[in-house]
Amino acid sequence: MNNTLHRLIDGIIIALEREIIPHVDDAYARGQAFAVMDLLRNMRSRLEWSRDITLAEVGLQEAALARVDELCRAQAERPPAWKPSAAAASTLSTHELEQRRDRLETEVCNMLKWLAEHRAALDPVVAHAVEATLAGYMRDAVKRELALTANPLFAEISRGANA
Amino acid sequence: MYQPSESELRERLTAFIEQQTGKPASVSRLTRYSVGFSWLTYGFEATWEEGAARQSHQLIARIGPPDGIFAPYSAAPQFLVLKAIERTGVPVPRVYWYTDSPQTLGAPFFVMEKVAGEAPLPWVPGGGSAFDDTTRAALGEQFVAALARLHSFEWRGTPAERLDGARDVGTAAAAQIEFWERYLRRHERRRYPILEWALLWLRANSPRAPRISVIHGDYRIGNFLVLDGRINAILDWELVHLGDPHQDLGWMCMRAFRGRSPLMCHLIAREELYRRYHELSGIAVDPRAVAFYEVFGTFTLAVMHVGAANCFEGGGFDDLRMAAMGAQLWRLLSQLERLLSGETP
Repeated sequence: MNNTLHRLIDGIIIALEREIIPHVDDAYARGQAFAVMDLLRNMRSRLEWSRDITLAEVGLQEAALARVDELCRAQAERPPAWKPSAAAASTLSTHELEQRRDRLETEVCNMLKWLAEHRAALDPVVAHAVEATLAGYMRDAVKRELALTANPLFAEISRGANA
Repeated sequence: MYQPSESELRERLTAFIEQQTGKPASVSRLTRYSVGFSWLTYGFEATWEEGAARQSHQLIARIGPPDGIFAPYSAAPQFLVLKAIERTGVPVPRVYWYTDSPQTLGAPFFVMEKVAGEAPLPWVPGGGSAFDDTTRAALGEQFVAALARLHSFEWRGTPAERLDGARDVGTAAAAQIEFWERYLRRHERRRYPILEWALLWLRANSPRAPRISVIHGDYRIGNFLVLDGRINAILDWELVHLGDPHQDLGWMCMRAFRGRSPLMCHLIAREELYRRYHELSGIAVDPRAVAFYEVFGTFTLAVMHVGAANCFEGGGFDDLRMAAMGAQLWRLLSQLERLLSGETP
């Protein structure tokens, strides 16, 4: 997901309060909508994005970066320095894990830029292997995220009615 | 969040129309439409005196909200280009007035005629056909012909000369890459390696434009109105600019606007599109340039999803549709990843 969980919950409550409930004519349906708001308010401080999902993402990132580091060890042109974090990912809180994931994504981005800029100076076999490692990471990451993404309801959202 | 009340909007639109026409006016039947994820769209009936009689007009106000996905907005580009091309044969709504001043509605807006018709959407339940064969053939031909006319339009010496974009065939792609990279940097809350990969690829593979044309920027199914099997109007000109005509062709060919259909925008086969477009515009189609702009278009669409998520997260924009767009970012990143890997998404 690309928004924080708490912002999403707040946004859903605001939409119910301002955009939906005032336009619902049936009293029972309005009561149900108020109950949704009530539940969301109570759930808000007890929820966080899945720690297991983020932990798996960080595992993929660390494996890819470690592999690139290993591939480039004998090269004159070295990629941006990468050292595994001292604290094992499994010991981190969900918030700390999310911060680590975001930092490692930046490191993958820096690695891609480095490869584009230094490719000519690398052994072609190594360059290809680095590229394949980074591409493989991106493909795995996108597959994992896509498996968690429900089909969009854009047609219903655009029409304001069932498709 | 920008959200004028109905009575406030009615009152201000009335005053604006009175100022523009110099006659007493009234505004009624104000309705907000759910279409469009960027500009807010309101339909209304306006009446003012013309000649000896009071005439009613069915109008649309499109408002660029200060916290929207492409804020800060300007109504000028859309207004100027719609005015400039109104007699070129490209079916467009007649535009009346615009202002970029926040004084009237608190945001830039323009007023245009309400054109009758339905907007077919790219999202077809079950992934089937969007049209029957006869309708599809007629709409496909019209859609390509309108694009050919737009790209052949001689914009120099017209108000469209004021549009943003490239004037140089050698830098048309670079100008667009730079524009969208700036947008990405403004909105990203974390980095996405696939987007960085795409930027590197785009810079290394930029084509030279065959000419500089007026580019619609969002030319696809969903952005035209159909009435009785004919296209009545091409809509949503907010990304209009000067650039490489291949950009609109690449956008039309994106997977995002055809789902599992082999037809571009559910309308026309790729080879047929290239052939008819060339016949009608005289502009030769370079398939490699179209392929480049398919990657570019998928990149920009993904970047717009990043922008939508950020407008919701920290931009004060409470429209849940933005968050729903943001939730689909990985679908676009998947399509982009496949394109960059040389696969069909």
